[in-house]
Amino acid sequence: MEIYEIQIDGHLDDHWADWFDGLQIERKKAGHTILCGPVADQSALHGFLGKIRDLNLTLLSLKCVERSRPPPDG
Amino acid sequence: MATTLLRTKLYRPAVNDGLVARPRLVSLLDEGSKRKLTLVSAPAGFGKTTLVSEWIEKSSRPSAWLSLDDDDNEPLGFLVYLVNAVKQIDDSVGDEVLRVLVASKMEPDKDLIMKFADELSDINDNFTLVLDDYHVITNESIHETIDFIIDHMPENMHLIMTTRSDPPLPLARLRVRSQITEVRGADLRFSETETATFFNDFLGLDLDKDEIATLENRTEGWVASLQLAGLSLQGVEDKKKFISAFSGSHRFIIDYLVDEVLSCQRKEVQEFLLKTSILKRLCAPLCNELLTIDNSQEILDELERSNIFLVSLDNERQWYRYHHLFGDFLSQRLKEKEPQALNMLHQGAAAWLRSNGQTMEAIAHAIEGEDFEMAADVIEPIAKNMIMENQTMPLLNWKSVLPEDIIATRPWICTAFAWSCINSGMPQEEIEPLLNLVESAISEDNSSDELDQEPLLHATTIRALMAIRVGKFQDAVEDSIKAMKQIPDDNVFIQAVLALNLGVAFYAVGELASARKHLRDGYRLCMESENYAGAIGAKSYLGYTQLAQGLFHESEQAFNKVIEIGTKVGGGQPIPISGYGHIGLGQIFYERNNLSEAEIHLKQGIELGEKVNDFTTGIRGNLALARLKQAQKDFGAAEAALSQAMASTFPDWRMPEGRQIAAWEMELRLAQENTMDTSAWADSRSEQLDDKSEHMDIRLDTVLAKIRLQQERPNEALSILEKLLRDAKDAGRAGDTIEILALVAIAEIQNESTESAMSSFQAALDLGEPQGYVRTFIDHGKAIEGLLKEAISRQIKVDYASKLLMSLNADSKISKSHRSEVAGSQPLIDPLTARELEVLALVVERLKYQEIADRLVVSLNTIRTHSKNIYSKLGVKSATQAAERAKELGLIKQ
Repeated sequence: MEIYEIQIDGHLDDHWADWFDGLQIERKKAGHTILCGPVADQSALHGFLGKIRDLNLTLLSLKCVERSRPPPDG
Repeated sequence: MATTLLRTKLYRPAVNDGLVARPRLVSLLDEGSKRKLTLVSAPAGFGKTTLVSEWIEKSSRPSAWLSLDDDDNEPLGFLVYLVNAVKQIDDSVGDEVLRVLVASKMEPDKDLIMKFADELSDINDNFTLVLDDYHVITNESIHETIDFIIDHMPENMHLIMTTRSDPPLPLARLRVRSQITEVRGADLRFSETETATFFNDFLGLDLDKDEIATLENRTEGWVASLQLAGLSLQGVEDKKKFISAFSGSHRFIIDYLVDEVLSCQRKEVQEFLLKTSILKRLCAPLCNELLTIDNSQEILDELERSNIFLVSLDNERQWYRYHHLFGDFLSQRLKEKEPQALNMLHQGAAAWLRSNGQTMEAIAHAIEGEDFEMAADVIEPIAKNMIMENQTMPLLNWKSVLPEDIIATRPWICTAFAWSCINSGMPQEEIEPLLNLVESAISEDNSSDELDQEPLLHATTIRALMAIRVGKFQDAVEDSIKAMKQIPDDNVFIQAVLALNLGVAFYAVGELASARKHLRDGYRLCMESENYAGAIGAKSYLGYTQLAQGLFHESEQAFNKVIEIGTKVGGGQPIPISGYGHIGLGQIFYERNNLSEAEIHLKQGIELGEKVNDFTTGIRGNLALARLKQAQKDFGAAEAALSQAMASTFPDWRMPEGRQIAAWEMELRLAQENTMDTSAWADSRSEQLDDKSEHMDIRLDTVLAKIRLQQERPNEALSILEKLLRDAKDAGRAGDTIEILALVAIAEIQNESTESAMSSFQAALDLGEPQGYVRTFIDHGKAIEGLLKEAISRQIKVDYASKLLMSLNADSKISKSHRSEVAGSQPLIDPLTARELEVLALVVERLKYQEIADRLVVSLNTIRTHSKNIYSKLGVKSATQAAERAKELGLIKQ
């Protein structure tokens, strides 16, 4: 399970946590929101990105902040 | 595939007049209609659908519309909708294509799509096809279909796609060729002028320039949010205050505005909007039921009049949906405000839809509302029909959500789930528990005398199918016979499946007479129930059976029939599985020594099968092709065909042809005189050999005997051949019998017992003459030459033997010339085989033996043997020397 941090433009209400399947919603003073939390796998992550697209939220950045497994080396 | 079409998906959403005229975009679309594709790609709420619908309304071109949703990710169903959409323009188009799709129940292949594209060019007018919301499509083969259609699009057609993200099509190529027009987010945004027109002219709000600029700035021209802002502003007194509060907020625009819009609605309307947001499609009676009110039609009319994101789905003002984005927001609000009401609402919707015959939607809502009991109640009576119609996808989806205790009491659901599993190639572990549920449900329920026993029959049938798949043919026969005894006369579906099943199982174990009987029945029953794919399967295996029995004439007729049906079903173009027929014909032509005709048919069969990755044609066809190439001494091509056959197998594949690959590989090594490989293989095979060897191993044992003969160990060969001969005679396998008799004769010549050799050989000639066997004799090459000459001198079957001798001589001439050609390209006395060249290339790359073995998917020992051969042929002792020598001789591309 990886932890991701998704930064989007604007302030998102708390009730969207449910839509984003339990990601923490943190509103920043600068006017953006950070969605943060564990993401089951890559297709779950793409599911979130699809939802961001479907709401026409502006995606500012996407970061993996913690990996449970070390990346496979070549 | 869904049997009933949702007509609302083919309806172009109506547009409201006079919203805001957008001449800039209209002329963009006008220009675009001269190219192949217009791609309208922008986020939700940018007015994509509205723009295209408006443009179509004003254009004089006829148009077809298809609104896509998540359920359209199935190639077959997608194409059915696509054809039906085009039929809105010209009803004469696509009948044949639809018939083929329904009859073959398989993924559409390129020929069919080509045929559809051809028919599109017959439409008299220039027309437009719209695929709305294409972003919901994730299925790769649908993308390929669309790509193919764009490539082959007739002049008179124009395609418009609306989507929230760019589709995986070769857009760059289309751009370079000026075949695409793009309308993107930046084009769709409202400019300040358009914003002003909307607020002041259309809504009559009388805002000043600064206020317009502020709104434009805050919404970034996003159409949906401007519309929401307009709706809110219509209800507020102090517009200045609203605009400044709105622009000062960081809140996500739509959150802010939906709250505002909702708060200016009457309580009744608010509740209506929230509660009906769970519906994909809404109509007044359904909404009345859901909210226990009676004025839903008035509310819907009111919402439509005030432009509150309601889209009409038909001409009768009956069905509506919310604009997707708005609907998402509403249902999110509902979840937040009344989470406890959600399940109740879904259940209410399910109940109404169920009693109004909207079965599939009823099931979806019942599952959403977690009323699995109701979902199962609705599924149970339709489960049987879904099996007959091969509707695998929805069944698999339901299987993943319905709890076991719910389905345990409903045998038809378990049966349908088991069919969907076996049809989609799931492993036995998934299927077995379902069959157990079927059996226990029926045996435990003694409450009713009229209990439907039929699921038990299906369970046994499915068991038999699984047995065939894992190579337990005897079990398959037993299960099938058991089920056969219980079938009622009117159940043609099961009768056909079982007969086909039995036929294939008997064919696999070599009981040809029984196989023939059941395959005949299977063919008749499949034709009766218009199951053409099944009929082709039955007729093909019937042909293969007759071929093995040496009945060339009958089997030729069967294969021609296969091609005839396959071409008829395909509307003039053979459907992929008609390839079975071509491969059968190819084998007959091969036996009659007409190699060029044989090659044409085999390649045609393989090519047809490849369109749908059919494994039967892939294996059977390529094995026959390998044999043919080997006869022409084109060993490289033979090797390649064997690799193709191998690539067509899958781990569970246990049909005889699959097991034969190893045998034909050894035949090839024998022909190449690669004694190292053949001896090693023969020794390990001898160790495994016991009396119980199954029919499917006869090819292996025949080649083992051949290797022993090549090693001049006739007694070992004879002991194998005696048993094989007995089996082949008992089972009526004429071709095998002739081949084995010929081998016995060769062995006896080696034993210097000419008299018994000649009596065996005479038996072979007696059997071979009436049907005109040629290759079965002359494939033995030099070893058979003496026998033929001896037969002629003894006046045994003189005409036939002389003819064979002539063919043999002609054959060796061709092979000599071919051989010198191949050898000529390599400056070696003993040229490397194609496989050895492959290994050599990897040796030169300095791969370790184990790595090479892994790469070529063979054992370490095989690679060692190959390397030994390579080293000795090149006259070297190490990999370094081999690399140098290979470069000197130009054997490796540098």
